[in-house]
Amino acid sequence: MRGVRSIALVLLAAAAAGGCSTAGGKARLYTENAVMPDMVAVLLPSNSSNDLAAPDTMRKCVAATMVALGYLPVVSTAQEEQLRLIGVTDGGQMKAIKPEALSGALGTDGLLYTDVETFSNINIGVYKSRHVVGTILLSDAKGNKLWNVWGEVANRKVTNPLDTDAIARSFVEGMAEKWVQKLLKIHLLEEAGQTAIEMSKKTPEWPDTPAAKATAIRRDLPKN
Amino acid sequence: MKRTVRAGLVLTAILGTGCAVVPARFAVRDAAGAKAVKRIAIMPFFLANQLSVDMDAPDKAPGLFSAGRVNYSRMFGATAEKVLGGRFTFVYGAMVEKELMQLGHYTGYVPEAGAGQRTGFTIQDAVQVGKALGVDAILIGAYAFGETQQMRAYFNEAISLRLIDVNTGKVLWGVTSRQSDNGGTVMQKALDKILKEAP
Repeated sequence: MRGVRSIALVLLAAAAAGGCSTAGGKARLYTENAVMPDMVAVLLPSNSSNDLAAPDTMRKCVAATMVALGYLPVVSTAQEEQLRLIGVTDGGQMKAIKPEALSGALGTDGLLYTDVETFSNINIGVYKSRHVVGTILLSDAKGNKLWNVWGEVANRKVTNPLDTDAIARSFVEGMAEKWVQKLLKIHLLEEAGQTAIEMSKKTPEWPDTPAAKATAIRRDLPKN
Repeated sequence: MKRTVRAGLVLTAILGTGCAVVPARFAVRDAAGAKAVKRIAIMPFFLANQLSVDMDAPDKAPGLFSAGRVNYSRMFGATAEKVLGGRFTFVYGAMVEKELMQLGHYTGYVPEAGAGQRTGFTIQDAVQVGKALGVDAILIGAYAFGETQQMRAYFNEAISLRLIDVNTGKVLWGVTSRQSDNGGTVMQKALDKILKEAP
């Protein structure tokens, strides 16, 4: 009986050991056939995660993919200074400021709001998880919503719970990787970039969205 | 028959490597205004990956990360002069940067600040610089590259440009180009598009 239980445990451990990745994105269109803004201010992200590096990492990945989608992201120290002049120093304040005030200060006809929902790197040796979830919302200068896109990427790895050497190795490797990446300011950059790409696949483009992509986005929309 | 098989194999190889040629796209917002443009000032590009704008960090720049840094807007200006020189006169590089510095937001490269420094300007600054330089329009650009493996699978590099009338502050036209293959450059594709489609 004991032997059977041991075999079952080993089989379970072997099945659990390994890695898995999940990635996806979903869009919501507020206005069909809207003219997309020519210049978009990539606002300071709102950060719901515990990681202080999350807003900057997500912001640069989102800004980069916006260029690939045809938009012109306006983001630099000067925009941050302009926002400070109207009392904005944190992404969490963005939604409390009138869109007209933001677009007026920044001189753009589009405003991109980013929300970092999850930005986590969990490492307990036997289980490692790198998980990023974010949303972006584009509005025009008056605050009319154009589209909203959600994206998620999770890379998980489980080490055989019976192999203590492998667990110790996995823990130390994970800690070293995290430390080096934080030092180089590339912590979870791979996952943040992948999340931005997942979002891009569902994001309407400038000046107009290719027909096949538009159909794919529409197919994804919730049925009324 | 053989030719069909060969074509099929080539197509499969192209699709298999994930290579995708995305044509540059152009949109006109004000054709009449665009027709009157002769002199254009090219602003330092917004570098999306760095949340900053292009600054000139020549060979003098110390440090592992800043040495050999490419100035995309200057590179674009030099190529634009060759491709579109017959049609437009361009002002770019040091002249534009000097005017921007006078407004205060744009710092340019500061050796003491070391690697990772950022700078910037507002759209209002850019229009003001255009007026000071006596040009008809300013070209605002943004450049991005695929920083991670996953991003590179989607795009290697991308560029977006908008031409803005210095008198009205309105966008006259815009162009965008993205590539996920290694053939040609996004700048060349964008310039070809401007050459063909700009009013």
